[in-house]
This record gives sequence, C-alpha cells and structure tokens, in this order.
Amino acid sequence: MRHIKYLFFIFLLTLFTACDDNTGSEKVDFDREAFLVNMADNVIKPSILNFASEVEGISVASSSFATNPSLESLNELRSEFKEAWLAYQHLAFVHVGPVSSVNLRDRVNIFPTNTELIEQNINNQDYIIGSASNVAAKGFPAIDYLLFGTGASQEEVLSYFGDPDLGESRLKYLSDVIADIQTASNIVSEGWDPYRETFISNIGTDVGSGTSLLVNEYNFQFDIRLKNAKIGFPSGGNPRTGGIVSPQSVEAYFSGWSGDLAKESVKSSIEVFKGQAFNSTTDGLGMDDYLDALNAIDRNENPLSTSIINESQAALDLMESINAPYSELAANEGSNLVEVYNQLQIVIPLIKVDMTSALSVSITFQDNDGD
Amino acid sequence: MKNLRLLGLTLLASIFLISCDDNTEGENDLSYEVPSTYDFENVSYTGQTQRLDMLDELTVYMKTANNGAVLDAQKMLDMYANENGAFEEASLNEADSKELENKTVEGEVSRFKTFIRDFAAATVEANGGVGSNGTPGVVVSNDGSAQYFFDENGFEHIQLIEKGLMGACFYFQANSIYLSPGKMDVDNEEIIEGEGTAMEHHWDEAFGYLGVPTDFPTNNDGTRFWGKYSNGRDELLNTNEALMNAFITGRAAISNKDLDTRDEQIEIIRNEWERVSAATAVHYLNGGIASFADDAIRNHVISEAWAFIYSLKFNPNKKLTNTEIEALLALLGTNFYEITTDNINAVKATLVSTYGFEEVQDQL
Repeated sequence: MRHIKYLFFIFLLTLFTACDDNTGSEKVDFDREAFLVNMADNVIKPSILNFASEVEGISVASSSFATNPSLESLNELRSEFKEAWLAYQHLAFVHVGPVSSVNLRDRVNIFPTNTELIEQNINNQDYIIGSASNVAAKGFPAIDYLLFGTGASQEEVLSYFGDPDLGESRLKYLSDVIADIQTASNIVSEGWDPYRETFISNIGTDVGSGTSLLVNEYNFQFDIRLKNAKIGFPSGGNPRTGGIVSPQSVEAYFSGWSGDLAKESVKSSIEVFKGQAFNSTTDGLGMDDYLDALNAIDRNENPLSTSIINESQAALDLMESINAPYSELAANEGSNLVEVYNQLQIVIPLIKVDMTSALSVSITFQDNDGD
Repeated sequence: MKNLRLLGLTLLASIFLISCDDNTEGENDLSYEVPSTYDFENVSYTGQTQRLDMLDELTVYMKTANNGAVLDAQKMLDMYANENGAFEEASLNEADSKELENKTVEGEVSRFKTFIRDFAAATVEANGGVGSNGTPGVVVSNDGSAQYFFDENGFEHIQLIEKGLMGACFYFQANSIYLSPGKMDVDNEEIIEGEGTAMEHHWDEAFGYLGVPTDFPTNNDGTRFWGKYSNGRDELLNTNEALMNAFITGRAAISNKDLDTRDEQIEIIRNEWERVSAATAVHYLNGGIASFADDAIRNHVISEAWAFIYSLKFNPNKKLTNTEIEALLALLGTNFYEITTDNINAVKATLVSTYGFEEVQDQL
C-alpha cells in the first residue's frame, strides 16, 4: 500500500518537473500572471509615478530659476535635477509599454552630450528639440552641461544665463530641454494604465509577451547602458575599447554624479529583479522567484537567482568604495572602474544566457556586430 | 516492504537528478578527445578569411608605391571600408557586411584613415621621385636589392597600415573581442548547422584571425599574417605549437562544456600571441641596429617594429599599459632618418625584460 503512495507522489513530482522545451508552456508551479501583475502594479507603475513627480519638481524649479536667477534658485534646480536623474535609473530597468514607445532611454539619457551642438542650437535658435539630430543635445546630460559645465563656479553659471546677449536663449534652451522630458514623462504616466491589461494578459514567454519584454529590457539596460556606457567605455574596461580610456564619456561628466547614478542603477537592477515593491522592502513575485520555481542553477550549480543577486551586489559593494567622480578615475588606465566593469560582466552570462534559457525567452536586441 | 520503500526513495531521488539538460555529462572531466588538428564539426570562419584577403589586396595595391606609383586615397579608403567595389576579387565586394574598418578598434579608425590619406598625399608629392630626409619618395638599399617608399620622415606607411591593422583589427578581434566574456559568455547549447553553438562559432572566428591552416604547424602552406610571424620566430619561441594546441584544446573543451579548460586556453592564446608580436618587434629592432647605416633597410624595419609594438595595445592581458607602449613609440621618435641606436636599444631593452627574452634577444 505504502509503495502505491510513493508511486503517486512520484507521479505528481514528474508533473512538476520543469523541462525547457522552448514552447514556453512548461509545467511549472509558478503563476506568471501574478508575477506580471506584481511587476505592473508594485514595481513599474510606482516607478513611473515617482519619475513623473520628480520631473514635475525640475519643471517648477526651472521656472523659478528663469524668473529669478540666484544662487538659491540655481541650487534648488540642481538638487531637483539630481532627484529626477536618480529616479530615471529605476525606470530604465522597466522600459516597457509607454516607456518604450517614447523610447525614454534615448530621449532623456544619451551621453556624452554634444556641447557644441547645444551651443550651436542656442546661437541659431532654429532647433527642433524632438528631432533625431538632437538626441545628444537634450535630456539629463544636456541639463548636466547647462547647470554645471557652463562655468567653473555657481557664479559663473549664473552669469552664463545672465549674459545680456545670449542669456534669454540659454534659459529658453534649458526650459525646452526640461519641457521635452516633461512631455515624455506625461505620455508615460498617461499611457501606463491603458497598457497594463495588454502587459499582464500576455502571459507566454514568446517575443512580445510581458515576461519576454521585461527580461529583454532588463538585459539591455544592464549590459549596454549600465555596464558598457556608464563604466566599460569610459574606463577602457570593455575590451572593445582596446583599453583606450575616455573619461569625457561618463554619465554626468559635468556634475560629477556618475558614481551616484551608476550605484542607483545597480541598486535598481537588484530591486527590479526581485520584484521588490518600489521604494519599499516588500518583496513580491519577481524574476528571482520565477527562476527559483524552475530550480534554475548557474554553471557552478548554485541557485541562479542567488548568484545574480550576489554578483550584482558585489559590483555595488565595489562601487561603494569609490568616492571620486568616474571621470577622474577613468583618466587612468586600469583604474578601479575596470574592476567594477569586470564584476558587472560576471552578471551578464547569468542574466543573458542562463536566465533567458531557463525562462525560454529569446534576446531580441542585437549588440552590434555579425561575423 | 522495506525494499519497496527503498525503491520508491531511489526512484524519487533519481527523478530529482534527472535534468532536462542532457549535455552535462563529461563536465569538467577531461575524458573527451582532443584532436591533433583543428578538425571539428560545424566550423566556419569565412568572414575572417575574407578580411585577411582584403588586407592582402590593400597591401598589394600599397606596394605599387615602392615602384614609384602614385596612390589614390579614395581607393584605399574604399578597400578599408569595403565600398564602391574596390577589390579585384568580386566575392569580397559582394561580402558587403564584411570590412576591415568596422572591426578595427573604434578609437583607432581615424588613425588608419589619416595614415591612408597621408600616404597617398606623400606619393602625390613624390610623384615617383627619390626620397630622402625631408623628402617623400622611393629609397633604394645600399646593395640595390630592395626599395621602399617613405614619407619625408622615413616612415613606411605600408607597414604602419598593414601591420598596424594586423594589431588593431585581427589581433584585437581575436583576443579582445572573440575570446572575451562578451563573446564567450554566450549560449553553448543550440547548434546551428555549419556554425555550431554561439560559443563554438566565436571561438572559431578567433582562430580564423590567426591565419593558419587547420593542420598547422605540421603543414605551413597558406600561413598568413600572424601565422607567418609566429612561424618566423618559432624556432626560438615555440609559439606555433603553443598557439595551435591552445586553439584546438579550447575548441574541444567548449564542445564538451568544459569551460575551465577553455579559460586556461584563452590565457595561453593571449600570452603566446602577445609574445609573437613583441618578439617580432625585437627582431626588427635588431635589424635596425644591424642595418643602421642603410636608410632603406633601417627605415623599413623600424616601421615594422613600430607597428608590432603598437599592436601590443590590443590584448586584454597585455603586459605593458597603453601609456608604456606610447612611451616606447615615442622613443622611436618622429623621424626615422634621425633615430639613434641608443633609442632603438632602449626600446629593445624594455621589450626584452618585459617578455623575458633575455636568452634569445640577439637571435630574434
């Protein structure tokens, strides 16, 4: 009699044995819809709202600054600006739905910014801020230049905007750049609720499904925009640079906030991966739980989700020990940033190969080159 | 009864151990066979071979300057970028996604374009005439056996471009791109017919840049570019076998999911390949000392040395920093007609001590 029980138990177990058959319909005890709902309602939406409110903050501060340029209003604007840029870092990891349709990444965070083009636009007054040719002359990196790169001191920045001939045009450019971010933010905020249903109802893992979008955007942001753009290219740590450093290409070159933004980015990546409710410690269903349900392991046979979190955290720990702006570090070959890059690189096969294979998701973006 | 329970537990355990991934057998035990030649299933590196062919054609064209020809900058730029049907070999023009330019270290592309333009301008200025210090043109060696085109400073652009691209394109792509995590931490399960897994394919592409036959070094026919230079110093360095064994072993390791062995081979390849470049530079510096009083030979071999030292930059495991490499190039100076033996020897000494060539430094 007993053995029949065993056999029954075995039978049940086989039902739950997950097999990757690339159909995305594997039998696994994981509620994909609940996962998408958690990501939508507790991770993405609050991140969008937070971004919107921070962007609102810059808009207000920028109007005050334009009306009454002073050290005080400049400082207020700078601090609002930093908050918004930090808020962007989290949102960039969930670049789905309306966030993706406005292409937020390219719209607000192309760096290094083209200072010559910015000045040319200001001088000629014939620019269309939304035009493709201006992607490197707007967004946060452009504000970074306008508020920090236009003078060596706050007083110099004030006199840049107070210039009798060009002051007005400069203020107008600043306000146009901020308005463009505001517009994008509005579209995203308004577009999320109508999109939510599409997102949570596409519960497969094929291209275009909620899971596939999340995993792809997560990978893209981590690999291309965080690891390469923020760390690997400026420091020469990415082998593709041939070891040639380019300190000017760090994020936030003029304000020196590169480290704060990059740390925020890694922190966000861990929170998004865990499905942690935005700005809270409540840990909902995330990619980590999904991998656990599949018993996904890494190449050393450790639980994959643990490895992803630990290796990302290790990068964050390394970054915590760096205080100087990344542009200063990147000026020297083989700086600590290279170590950070190498640590971030350790995460890549875990999320780009092991995770995608466990979840039966294909990477849909191409990192440049063919054979 | 007890037996049955045991049976049940055993079955239970076995189910836990059944993994859907049936490729885990043989993991980390070197029980697999490593062939004696680069003979594997699903190997393809045509794109690499085509790029070697492109550099060959570009070099053949550039060398016409040694006989007084005036060169067309646009034609060379087109060959570099594979545009406007620049090649004699039609299949290269048709391979429009393959080019040298977009595989060169991005930050170095403008350097090569400048080399090309300067070279062409120097041939225009010389217009087939004789070169000397301050004047671009063709210079014949003292014994009349060789002649080279130099710019007004004695730089032989043919070497800067050909050997420089061997470094900033071939050596760079193999060591810094294909054998780096970006191309190695990829899928190794899904086999594409004719190409293998993504990881196997990237490994094969790195091998393609070495320019050797699959049964190298037993067979030397058709050895090109880096393969040729490895062969040139092999008697003293034994790089042929070291490189080939590492490439073969690494490929077998990948096919057998043995990534630790793969990583060991990557280290070997990067180190041995770097030795080839450094030793070749020392070889040419020795030539510069030996033929110091012969403008043609000296400028020619120092131009070669310049390019092989420059190439050292593009290996992630390089033993010198870019700053140190730049300092060596600065020691070679900006005019090879005016170079000193002291400077040549100083550069040589640094390379010898860095790479442990003390025993062989004068025979290289």
